[in-house]
Amino acid sequence: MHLPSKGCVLIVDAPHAPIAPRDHSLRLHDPLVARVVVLGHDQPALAVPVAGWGRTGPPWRPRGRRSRHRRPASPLAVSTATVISSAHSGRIIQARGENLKGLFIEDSAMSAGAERVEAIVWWISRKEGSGFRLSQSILTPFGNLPFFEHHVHRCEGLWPIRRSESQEIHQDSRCGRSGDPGAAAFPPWQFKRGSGRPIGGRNGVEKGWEHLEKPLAPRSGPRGATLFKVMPARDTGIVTENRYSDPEMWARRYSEFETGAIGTGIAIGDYDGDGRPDIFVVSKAESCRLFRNLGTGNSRT
Amino acid sequence: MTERAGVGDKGPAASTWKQGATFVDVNNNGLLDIYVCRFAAPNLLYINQGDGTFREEAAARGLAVNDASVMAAFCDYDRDGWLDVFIQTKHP
Repeated sequence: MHLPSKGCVLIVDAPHAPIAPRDHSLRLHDPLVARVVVLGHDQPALAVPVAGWGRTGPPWRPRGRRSRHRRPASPLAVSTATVISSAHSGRIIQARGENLKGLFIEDSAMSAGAERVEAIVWWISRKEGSGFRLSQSILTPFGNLPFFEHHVHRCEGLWPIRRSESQEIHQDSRCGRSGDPGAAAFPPWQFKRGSGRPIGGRNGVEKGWEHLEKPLAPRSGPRGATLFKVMPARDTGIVTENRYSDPEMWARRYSEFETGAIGTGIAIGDYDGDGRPDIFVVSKAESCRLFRNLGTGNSRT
Repeated sequence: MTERAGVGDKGPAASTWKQGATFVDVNNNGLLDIYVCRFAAPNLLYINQGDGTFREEAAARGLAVNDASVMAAFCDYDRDGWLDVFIQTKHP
């Protein structure tokens, strides 16, 4: 089957966090119920259930090798995954499942013959409201799906809003109007300007979701004096330079450095009990420094 | 100041990667001590001697965690009156 697809959304519906803590990849043996929604181009979205894949192996037989796994029968109805909206240009994707814990794909890339899809997913808890909770990068086994094009989708911004008044969307005959009682529990979302017209909905496939195209309000700033003022280093005497001088950082230990050990720390406390906070600054690869607050506007290291 | 206080690591020890630092009074003597998280090296616990100097006692106090520690947070987690510590690490 050849689908001129615009991309895909992976809906993960797992009772426990499906993200492996160390390599941030979904493991095959994690208990996981997932569905994949394929965004068709100018046609209804296709939801491909891959339920039970975590227990029984990959949902599709890996290409080029014999697999002892069978594609499991899915207990999930395809219709439980509904594509909410997608940009006309294929840049923004949003989707929802009935028991969705959360998802938002920032970046999914598919290429011809790819057996894996890389995506960054924002997990959103329906119970905890609509805020971003965690972003994780996942690497999903994805072999032998009927994709033959390369697509990149990027989510540019998602905000909860009140129900939309967008006339454009209402008049779009391909976008079903709301009749879904569950829609109110999960508020609609707003896309940035240019998100375009939703695709994939036909004859009420998209239920209870609308989006609004409206520019964001300008970013707010301070309207008066703030409680802080900058104290120049020449006045305070607090000068510390953090040189990343260990050559191993760029050689043998680069992976360790890049994936977690970047950065240093600072602690503020009154270690000498004189009522004035002192500063302890960690240096990445050199001696740490302790700045004692003398109370005269400058510190001594 | 740093050297006199005894919190400046010297020589090869100084080149050990260090990450988080926490001021905490671990021995409940009213003086803040310093806990330093390090990468692939035992973490350091500088005990405040009360005279402006510190002494490193992480091993003696059981806090010489050798991991890829990033940051440590101290609190009395189980409310038994003893300070507990939560150390965020990433396996090396």
